[in-house]
Amino acid sequence: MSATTEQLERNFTHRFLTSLRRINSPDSKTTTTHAAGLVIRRRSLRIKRAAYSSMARAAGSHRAWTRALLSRARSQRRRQQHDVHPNYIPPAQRRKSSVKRAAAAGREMGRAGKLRGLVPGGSRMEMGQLLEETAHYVQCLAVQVRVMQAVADHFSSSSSM
Amino acid sequence: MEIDISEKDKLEQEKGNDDNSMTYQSPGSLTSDWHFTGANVTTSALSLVPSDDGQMNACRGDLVGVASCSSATMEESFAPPGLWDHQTSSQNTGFCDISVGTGTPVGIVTGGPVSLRSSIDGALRMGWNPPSSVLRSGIFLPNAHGILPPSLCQFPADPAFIERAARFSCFNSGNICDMAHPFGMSEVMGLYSRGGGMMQGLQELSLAQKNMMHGVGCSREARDASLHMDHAKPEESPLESDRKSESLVRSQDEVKLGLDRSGVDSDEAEFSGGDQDDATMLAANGGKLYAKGLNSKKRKRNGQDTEHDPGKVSQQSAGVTTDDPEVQRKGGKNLTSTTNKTSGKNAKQGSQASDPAKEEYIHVRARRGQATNSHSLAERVRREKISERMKFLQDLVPGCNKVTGKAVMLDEIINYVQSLQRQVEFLSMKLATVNPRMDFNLEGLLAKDILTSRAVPSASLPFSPDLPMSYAPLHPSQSGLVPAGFPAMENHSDTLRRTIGSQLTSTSGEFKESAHLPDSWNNELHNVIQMYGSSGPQDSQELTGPVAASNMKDEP
Repeated sequence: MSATTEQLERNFTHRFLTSLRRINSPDSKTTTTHAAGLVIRRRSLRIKRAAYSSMARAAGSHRAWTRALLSRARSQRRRQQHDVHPNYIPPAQRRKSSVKRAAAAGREMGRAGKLRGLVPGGSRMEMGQLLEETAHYVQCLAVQVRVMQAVADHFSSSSSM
Repeated sequence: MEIDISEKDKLEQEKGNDDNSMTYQSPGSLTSDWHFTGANVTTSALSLVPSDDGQMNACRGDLVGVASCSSATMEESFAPPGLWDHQTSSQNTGFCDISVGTGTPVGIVTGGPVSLRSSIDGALRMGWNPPSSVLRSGIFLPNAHGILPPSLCQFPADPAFIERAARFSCFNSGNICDMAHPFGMSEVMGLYSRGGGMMQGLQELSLAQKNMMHGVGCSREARDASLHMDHAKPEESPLESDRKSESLVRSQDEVKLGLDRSGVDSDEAEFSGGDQDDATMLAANGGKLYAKGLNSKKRKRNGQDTEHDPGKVSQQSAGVTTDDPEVQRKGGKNLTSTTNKTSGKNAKQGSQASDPAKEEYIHVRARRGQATNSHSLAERVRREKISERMKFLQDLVPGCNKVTGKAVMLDEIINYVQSLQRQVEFLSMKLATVNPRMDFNLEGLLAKDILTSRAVPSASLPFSPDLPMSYAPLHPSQSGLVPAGFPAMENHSDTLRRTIGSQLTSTSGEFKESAHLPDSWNNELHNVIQMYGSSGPQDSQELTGPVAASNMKDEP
């Protein structure tokens, strides 16, 4: 593993474990009112989001996909938190830009459109940049999966003990 | 010769070089040397040879001969003094490639042509004194229009070119570091080191990059590096480098040594690396210089694609220059060697090899036989950029080495990304089920986690394979990237995942989330399970994971 990958892994691991702890310990939101299955599902969603956000932060904001991912997470968070205000509209997120971009990404025939859909922020990029971002994204995803696997294994093993 | 010399002087002055009238060694001696060098270069190119004084000497001899050839061509194309940089660079590149033997990496990072000159001077002084002058003069001097015999068409500008190349390489490496591109950096550095030797005369960075990539294989890296560099750095340098690489290529073509250089090879080499390829190709084919007038022309003219017979250096150079102004304005597209493309288009193979160093910005040089339209040039640059990135991705995605073609490659990439995202989802589900009992000490956990990732003592992991299941069968070899799957266990994952399976069984209670599994997940799991021989209880665990994950539908 190259030095940067190791650094990225450490960074991500730290952030991810921090957020995991935050998710698991207080458990204020996870609730007892929900069914056990739902609790797990909700938690897994939060963990997933935390994992992506941690990776995006660890990777740095000089990458377009990290910025796009973090802004998407932010708007998602706002949307969730502002559920009490149904009129709230996340700025610059709705309508035109997102719809247009999504439509554009979908409109683009074939694989490029699919790839744009997969990579955060991909609909805004042109092909060259898209490929570059994809490469970096793939690297970070691999690190993320590796770390998550290690954490899961660790917890599994420790919990089983 | 005299003409050349005078031309050289003119050129020199423009650049402000003092070495204009340098020793113009007898072509004969150079020629022989050059041939030799060319051969050496070819062989050494791949192996990164910075070394060779012997080669250098040979090059020198050749250079003279080349210089004469190139100078002739240069004349043609060297119309406007302003194009000096381009032209010289191109010439340099063309010649410099041959002089790979010099291998003294200038290591001077220069910001632009001016610096190149100085670097070239410096480089020349390093080992090359006599030839340097010759080279420089060679560069500037368009040779007598008569085409020198191929054997003589060596790069007069080798030393200068090499300097540039070296400079570029230095520059590239410097930039690359700045780029902090995670995967680009190592490559870039590698490239740099390789190219350093070769590239001394190379003009801008792109050239250096190309040179660095000695082999075709390197070319990709070079291209990546150059690509990254392009992104990271201001465009002009890449453009210059591109320009130079192009000229390099051209000059080589023009020079056409007696060696057999498969134009295709060189083209391919160049092609893969983009600008860098050109340089590499040149080096690789060191012996194979094509006395392509076109190449020389190309050097002189940026962005001009003119089809000229390889043999007619002068003609070619003239043709190339037409679009230079347009190309220059284009900016931003480094056409590195779209040799492949060019070859497709060009009837003349010879020129292709040398060509393409299209610089990124401004000095995009049209390849031989290609349209010189500014749009097409920019398009070509863009295509090369994309193909370079695709190559990089090919290295990244496991199991894509045999895949050729953008479409299939893209499919593979998409599949890989999707599988990774599925794995994340699955793992998050798994963590959600596992974690409830997590009161862990973060530092301790971190340390432990890191330790585990490096050296876990445990046992089998029947469970772990389920993650990568979709990919494991496909890419068993990819250990670094895909933690999943047994095949990938060789790396630290091995330590990570040991004995999870048995342990998981004990924790099966946690996993009873859902009983129904989508068929696809079932199949995958079963495959994986069968592959890895996981036991029954684990199956349930495994199934729940993917099921949950699939239910959740990833939305990263």
